[in-house]
Amino acid sequence: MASQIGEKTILRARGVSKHYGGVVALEAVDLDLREGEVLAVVGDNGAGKSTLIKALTGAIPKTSGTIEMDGQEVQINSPTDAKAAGIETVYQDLALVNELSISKNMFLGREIVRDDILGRLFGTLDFGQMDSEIRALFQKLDIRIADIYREAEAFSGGQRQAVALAKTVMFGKRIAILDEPTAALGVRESKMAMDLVRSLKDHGLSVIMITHNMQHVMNYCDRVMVLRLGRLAAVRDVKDVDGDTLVGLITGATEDKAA
Amino acid sequence: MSSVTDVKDKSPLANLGDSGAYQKLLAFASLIALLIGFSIASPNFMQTSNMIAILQATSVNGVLAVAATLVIITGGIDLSVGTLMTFCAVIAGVALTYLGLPLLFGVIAAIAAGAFCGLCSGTFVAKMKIPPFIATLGMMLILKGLSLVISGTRPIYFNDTPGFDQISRGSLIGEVIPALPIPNGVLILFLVAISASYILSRTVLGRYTFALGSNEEAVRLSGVNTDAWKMRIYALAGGICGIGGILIASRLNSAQPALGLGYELEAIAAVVIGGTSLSGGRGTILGTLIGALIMAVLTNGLRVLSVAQEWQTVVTGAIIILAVYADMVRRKKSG
Repeated sequence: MASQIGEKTILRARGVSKHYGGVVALEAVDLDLREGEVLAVVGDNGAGKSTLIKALTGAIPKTSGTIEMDGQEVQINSPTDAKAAGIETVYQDLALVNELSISKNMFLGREIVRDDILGRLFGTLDFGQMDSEIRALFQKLDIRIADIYREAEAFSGGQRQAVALAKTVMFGKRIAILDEPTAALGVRESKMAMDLVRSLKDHGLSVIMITHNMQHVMNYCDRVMVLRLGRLAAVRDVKDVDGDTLVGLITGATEDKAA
Repeated sequence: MSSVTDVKDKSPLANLGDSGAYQKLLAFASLIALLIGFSIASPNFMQTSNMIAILQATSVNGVLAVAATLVIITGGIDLSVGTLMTFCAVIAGVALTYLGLPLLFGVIAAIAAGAFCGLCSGTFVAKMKIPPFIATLGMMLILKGLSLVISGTRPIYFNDTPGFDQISRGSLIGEVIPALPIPNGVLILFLVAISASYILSRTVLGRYTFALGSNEEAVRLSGVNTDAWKMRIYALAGGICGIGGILIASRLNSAQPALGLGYELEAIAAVVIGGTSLSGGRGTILGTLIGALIMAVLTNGLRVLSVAQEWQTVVTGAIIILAVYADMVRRKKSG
């Protein structure tokens, strides 16, 4: 059920633009995310991929454009708004705070406060509750972090990405947005990360994923949208394209007639 | 289930034991070395009365240093702690001597004034994006001026408020154990320090204090309202300066409006000597307490040895440079 792609559009963005003064980073991009799918966003460096997801999640203010969820227009002007709407995002370099422990990172922004007078008066944290939830989740997702009290910077890129994705599993209610979840990861770690992406889908989340890896698009994604020079170049069902066509669309060698 | 004893998060322990531990150990060793050195150099140094004088001298600077620690851990700086202390003392004077309000109201007014001014600094920093150095420098001057304006540049005495001087100078401990007349001011410093430690290691506010100093953008993207939390931290620091204002006013039994400038640097020096990083994200209250004690022992010891006041200042300056250098060496080593 969860991994089935519905016809329903969960997120609909129209005419999303981002200008920095006279520089156009993103121009009138439309995006539709269907319930339960993994939508890949591909494009060359500077095509506007990161700008698009930052504008969608309120990390940067968009110049223009509207966002609808379930057919209702929503205002997403800050990461807090995005989270309230059920959108969880893993940013490329800022997914975790390096200096904080894994356990602090997991609940950053969503700390559990003790259900007593201390919690209510001072915001005293419920360490036991948070730690047991983290351990249970890591076990379920088969994430091996020996010491959750060590700073995030002490772990490998793959482990950190796994933690960031686990955070998405724990808190993502509707949509997960991932900015290059396998950037700077080795082959084995990439596979681990992509298996976690698949499990996001199994947890009932719809996923938008920026990637440079055409293999991952082919193996893990349902649809793919191509950005070129800040504009939408094409949207395709993955089963209708091959790697070469995609590369052609990314570089502009192949013009998309449908778009 | 979640009583204090079975807390498994090591953060309070980690605060004591992580990379700042080296410098804190160094600071603690320096403190012991200073104590031993001065004891050998002068028989007058290790007297109970002198030790109590050192603790008494630590209390005000220590409280201000605790406030400065909170702000510095967020990656900011607070140059206004000294004049804010004076401003709060003046506010207490207005409430108690001019308006004749009961003692408790004077204390509350001073702490509230401190929290409000801290909130203003926090607003300048978080909302108006003014660099903390500039925002609190402006605040420092504003408060210095306001203290003089409100008091008419004259000290406000608390002679009409019986018991006010006992807040700092009395000794509850001394009443129970006559051999140990530790002044209440010191007791208050420890209460403030313990509370601040608790906040830093056990509460949401403390967690964000460190997080903001580590990587504010990542914290913001995690959905934390970083501006609001930063304002709260500055307000808390301001409130603690209000306690400092009460302590100094009580010790002098008067609010001295010209006082305060220079206290901020002593406080920051204590913080730095205690191993809190000026670049934010790392620091402890215990370290700051040790730092404040080192400053007080040094000042007192040099005075006992009859070293000229001018040279005391030179030595303090040199120690600050050494402490920061030790911090840099440690950072380079730890990568």
